[in-house]
Amino acid sequence: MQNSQIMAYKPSLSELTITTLSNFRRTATLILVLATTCVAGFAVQLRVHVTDKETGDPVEFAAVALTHGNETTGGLTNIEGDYVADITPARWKVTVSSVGYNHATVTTTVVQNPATVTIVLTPAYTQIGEVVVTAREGRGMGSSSLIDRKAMEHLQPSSFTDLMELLPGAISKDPEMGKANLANLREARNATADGYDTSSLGTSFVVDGVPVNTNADMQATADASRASRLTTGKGVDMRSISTDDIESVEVVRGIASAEYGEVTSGVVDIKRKSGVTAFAARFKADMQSQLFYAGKGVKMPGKDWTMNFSADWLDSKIDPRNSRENFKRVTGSIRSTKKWTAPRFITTWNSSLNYNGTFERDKNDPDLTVNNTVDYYTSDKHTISWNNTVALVSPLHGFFHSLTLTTGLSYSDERLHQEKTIASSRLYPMPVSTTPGSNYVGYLPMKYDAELDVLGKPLTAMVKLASRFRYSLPFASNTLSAGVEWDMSKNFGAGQTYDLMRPITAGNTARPRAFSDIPAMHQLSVYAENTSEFHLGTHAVELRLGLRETQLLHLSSRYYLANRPYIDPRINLKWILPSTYMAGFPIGWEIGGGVGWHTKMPVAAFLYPDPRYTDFVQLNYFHNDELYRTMNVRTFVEDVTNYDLRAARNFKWEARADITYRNNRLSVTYFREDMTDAFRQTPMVHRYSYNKYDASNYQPDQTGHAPTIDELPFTVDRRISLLSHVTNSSRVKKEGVEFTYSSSRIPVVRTRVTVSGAWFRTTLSNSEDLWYKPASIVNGTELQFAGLYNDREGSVYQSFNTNFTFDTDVPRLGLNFSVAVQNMWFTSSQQLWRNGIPHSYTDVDGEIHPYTPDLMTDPYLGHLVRTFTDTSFDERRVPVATTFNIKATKKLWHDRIAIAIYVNRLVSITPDYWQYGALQRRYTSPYFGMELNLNL
Amino acid sequence: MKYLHSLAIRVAAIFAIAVVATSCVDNNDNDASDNIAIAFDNRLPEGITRETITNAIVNLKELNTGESFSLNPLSSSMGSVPLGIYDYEGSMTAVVTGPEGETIEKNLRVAGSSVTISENTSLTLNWFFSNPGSSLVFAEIYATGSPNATATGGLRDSYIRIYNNTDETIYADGIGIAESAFVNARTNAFEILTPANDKEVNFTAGTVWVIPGNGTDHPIAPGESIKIVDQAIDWSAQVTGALNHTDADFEWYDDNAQDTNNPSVEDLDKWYCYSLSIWVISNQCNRSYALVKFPAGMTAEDYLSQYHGGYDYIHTIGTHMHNDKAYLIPNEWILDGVNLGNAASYVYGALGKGIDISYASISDVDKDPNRFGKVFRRKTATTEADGRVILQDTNDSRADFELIKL
Repeated sequence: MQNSQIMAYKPSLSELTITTLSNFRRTATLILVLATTCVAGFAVQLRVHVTDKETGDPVEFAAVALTHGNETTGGLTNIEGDYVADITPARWKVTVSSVGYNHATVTTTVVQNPATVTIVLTPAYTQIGEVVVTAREGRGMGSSSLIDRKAMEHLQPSSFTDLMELLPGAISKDPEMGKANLANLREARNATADGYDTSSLGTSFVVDGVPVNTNADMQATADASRASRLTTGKGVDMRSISTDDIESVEVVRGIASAEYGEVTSGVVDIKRKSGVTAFAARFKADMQSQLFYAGKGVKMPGKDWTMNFSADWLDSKIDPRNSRENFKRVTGSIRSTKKWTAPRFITTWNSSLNYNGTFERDKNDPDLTVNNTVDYYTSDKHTISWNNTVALVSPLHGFFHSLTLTTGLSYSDERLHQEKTIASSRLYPMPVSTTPGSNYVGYLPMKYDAELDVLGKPLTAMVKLASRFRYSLPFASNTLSAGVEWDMSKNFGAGQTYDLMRPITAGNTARPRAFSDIPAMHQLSVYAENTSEFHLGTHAVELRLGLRETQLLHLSSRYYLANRPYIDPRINLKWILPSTYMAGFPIGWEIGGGVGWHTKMPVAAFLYPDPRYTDFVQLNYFHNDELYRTMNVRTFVEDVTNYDLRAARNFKWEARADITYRNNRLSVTYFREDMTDAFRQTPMVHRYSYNKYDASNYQPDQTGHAPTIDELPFTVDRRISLLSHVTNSSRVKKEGVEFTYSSSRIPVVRTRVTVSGAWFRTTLSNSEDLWYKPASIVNGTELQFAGLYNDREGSVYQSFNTNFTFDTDVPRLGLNFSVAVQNMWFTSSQQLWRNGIPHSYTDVDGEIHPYTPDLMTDPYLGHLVRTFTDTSFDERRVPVATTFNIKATKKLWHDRIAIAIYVNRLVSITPDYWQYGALQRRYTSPYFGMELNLNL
Repeated sequence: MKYLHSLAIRVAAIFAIAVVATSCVDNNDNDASDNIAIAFDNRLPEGITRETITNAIVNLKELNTGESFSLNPLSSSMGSVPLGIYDYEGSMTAVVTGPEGETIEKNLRVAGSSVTISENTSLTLNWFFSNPGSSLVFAEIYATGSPNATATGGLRDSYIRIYNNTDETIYADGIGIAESAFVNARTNAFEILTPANDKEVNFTAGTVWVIPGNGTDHPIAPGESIKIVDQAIDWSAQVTGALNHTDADFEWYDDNAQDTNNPSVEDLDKWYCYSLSIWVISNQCNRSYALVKFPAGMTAEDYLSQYHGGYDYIHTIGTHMHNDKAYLIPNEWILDGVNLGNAASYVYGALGKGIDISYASISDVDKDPNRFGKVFRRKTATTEADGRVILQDTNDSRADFELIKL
């Protein structure tokens, strides 16, 4: 939150104010002081006070240089924005520079003692005609990207997904509204594999201080073709987040403040608009979608009370030719901000009531299918949330700074509905019993109409109390923040409801369970963080030490996680070096880094998995005479809960450097992240014993009825199977270099160059030995052995890109124009080496035996050897691809109307390349959209 | 043997030269301006010499005009053919002396497609042994199944009919039915690297079913057949127009909660299957099938321990891959084999050329939605005086099978 130094664009002239103050009331003292200083060599005390023009807040760490002839001195401002020096009374040149501000130079004659010079710095990005249309590197302590309203207007997004293009390492992407859009921060572009969703799950979206809680989401369907539309256990679906209400976003990629929890990858901190605004409307159309937005901020009766109203509607067709597959989003929000100002405290109350609806349709056209078969999928989600924040801030320079109480309450009504005409290719027996033991089963009809409803009603609540204090020590000024947070999530939905004899996929063996049977999850977290600023001569060091403790409450004591505290230490350091000068202008140097642990607790679907049903055939008697038909299975109902499940923890460290010179800024971050206990579905060995009944001598004509298991001889058969459990066996390892360079706007051509990009290396693999059982039948039965391998199955993915953006701003013409050259220099993937030989194996007896080389020739155990070829582990590299994107905005009628257009991949250069003797050709097609903005 | 082989090549070379020389001189065709001489470079297998050959013939068919020409590839006075693109097939018989002095007749065949014959073309004929003496043959393969209840796909009323094409009773006990691990389609076009998986040596199977029995349990009389089905149920009671399989001789039952088992129809033994749940015949008809006579006394365990056939190959995308889910069947064990495919995606069959030189095509297009309900049925060659039908088995499935809509 303290990093949210994002300011609205206000075109104004660079401003410089000099105020020389004197204290006439203490003339007597002054004379006395003057007298003493005269004795000491005519020294006077000069206080240089530096403030931010936008906010009026003091600017800390500003470099102050004082020169008078050959005499020079200087230093950095403290937390109060002050730099104090003892100088000789004379005419001094005062130069002040600070990262992110325009430097300022004034000349003042210092006579009085003490004297004060106040210098107001103008933020660099609100320079004349200054518009930033790309993400800026944050000025906070961890590496972060700041995206403001201007950048969003220029980008012309349809959903939050589009904003991710602005992060280092990302390039423009066509909307994919037909599937869930997950946030994968700092990952190689081509890194995709099942079992590594903790990366997106651990990206926390915080809207006005309230995190979006997806822990109780459990929507699921057995229809594999629709699996990519669902987000259970995968985090926030960015399609559902509208961007038009957003004032600014800070994406924390690096070490997050201890204030943020449930985060392994990063934090997306969204601030929405508040305050009085003109009526704004936006109409956007692109190749897939239409969007309409309207919003207004009004002043309410009384003092300091404003309300904002807004609504947006998006209709996206995944294929414009097909009106039967679409994604719609409707959002609306009413937000109130009320401020009370008292002599000692300012109290702010923010309240918002929000509605978010998403509607997915994927329906076939029965008129186009043979015999009017139906395949309908709809997924609707309505979310209503009510968030409140009451903040008490003391503007005085006392110990107490602020106390903030945040509450969030959110309720969703989710309904996934499927209708499908199922025509089986074979006659399926249909075990449906939910009780373990021997059960007789029926058969599915060859054709039926299946209906499935998945009803989810997640309710989430959170309360957070955050406080902030400041105190000074002789060598440092400090800010201390501490807080406590409680989160609750519970799904009241009925879960999957369908007729067991009419499943949505024939041969499905699952049985439904109500989501409401799953207990509520409670999480309690506390944090404390201290930020110290040390001034060591012309150096300044900022050190942030944070500690966050979190635990799940009310969890059965069988769980490892029950009341188990997790402690995340997080440390960030920023070191501002003395400015050096080049051609008379200061070069600002800043280096920093951080290290920290980040914990994400498992979601409800991981802690409380559905019971698993397995049916083994005991008697299969499909007699020609229907009267004598019977089938009996042994049903096993198993709890696959992993009581040893732990939280996923990501260890991150990063080193950063930041150089500023005359409004040019280069930021470079090197980072490493290693999460060895990410969640995944892991196959585990289960053993079963059941009876095989022999009906070969049964004479139904004589008994007059179908055989029953009580009257048949049997043999006992045993099997092993692998069933998946949720474990902490995934490893997500990330490494990379992120960089952002932005030039000052070049006069005359009014163009600024921004270069951002990243090299990422992402390794996705298992972190623990895995069981494997070949899926084949050997001599009549499933192979009754499973091997345990210490191989790491997975790949190393790499990508390296640069995005050059040339944006030209001509305020006189109301025109803003940008050309982006996006180069993906290469992407590559390489499988990790595996030898494929198990170190041990198990059988139906449950013993674990070592796997010795002589077993490789065994007709059964030999199948446990997995053979890989040399090229399996080759690096597959895709060479450079270059695309040119253009965007333009033109303002008309006193800036009240703006029209904008964008074309992605207007020109693409994707050279063919050879891979294993085969020529690979790549094709791209442009994507474009346009919009109209009204600001009345 | 080495000597014989090189001799064969020399003989072939001499013939080729002779043919070129003579064909120019002996061109008696009236329309000489359109015809060109054709030379044959006969490559004979090891052990076969020019002197042992009788009845050699090559039939050439021009693809555009449809004109056919029959030529003797070994003749010193042969005709010429018009310039064009030809499919060709040929046969010859060789009489050789066996190890114990007996006389053995061996049939050889040759075939090729889309060869351009122009001036000075020397057509290389790679002769191979064909095996018409098969006893059991695939009479019918119903891979697609009948249309399902909504006509959107196929049912698993698929079946295989095995026919005794001899005049003696044959016992089906221990006969294997194997499906290729390779897919005969362009999508999987690859080059097999492991020598043992060379299709001219071994058939690489992904599934091996075996008819149970003690050796004399399941006789098939001359001219009789057995029907092997997926689910031995009366499909017509389930879906109109489907087949009734309650009269099947065997069913391939997968011991799985997704299958049915008819107590009055015996189950096949499942020696090996690449799939864990249920096995279905490729309903896209793009694999190959073989009838296998295992050596006497071979048990499942013997076979499984000795003939594992994992192989390395070059995938379409050029990578070097490995598939472990395969077993080898030596070509000598194969009684009959059929390559299935469709004209749009077929590249080459998984069976050796001596077993099937071509393939039976389900359709001219890939994944044809109208393929369901069509059975591959072997043509009748002759009918004996006693009414026994002899099915055509020239190891050329394109010619031997017809596609019948049931």
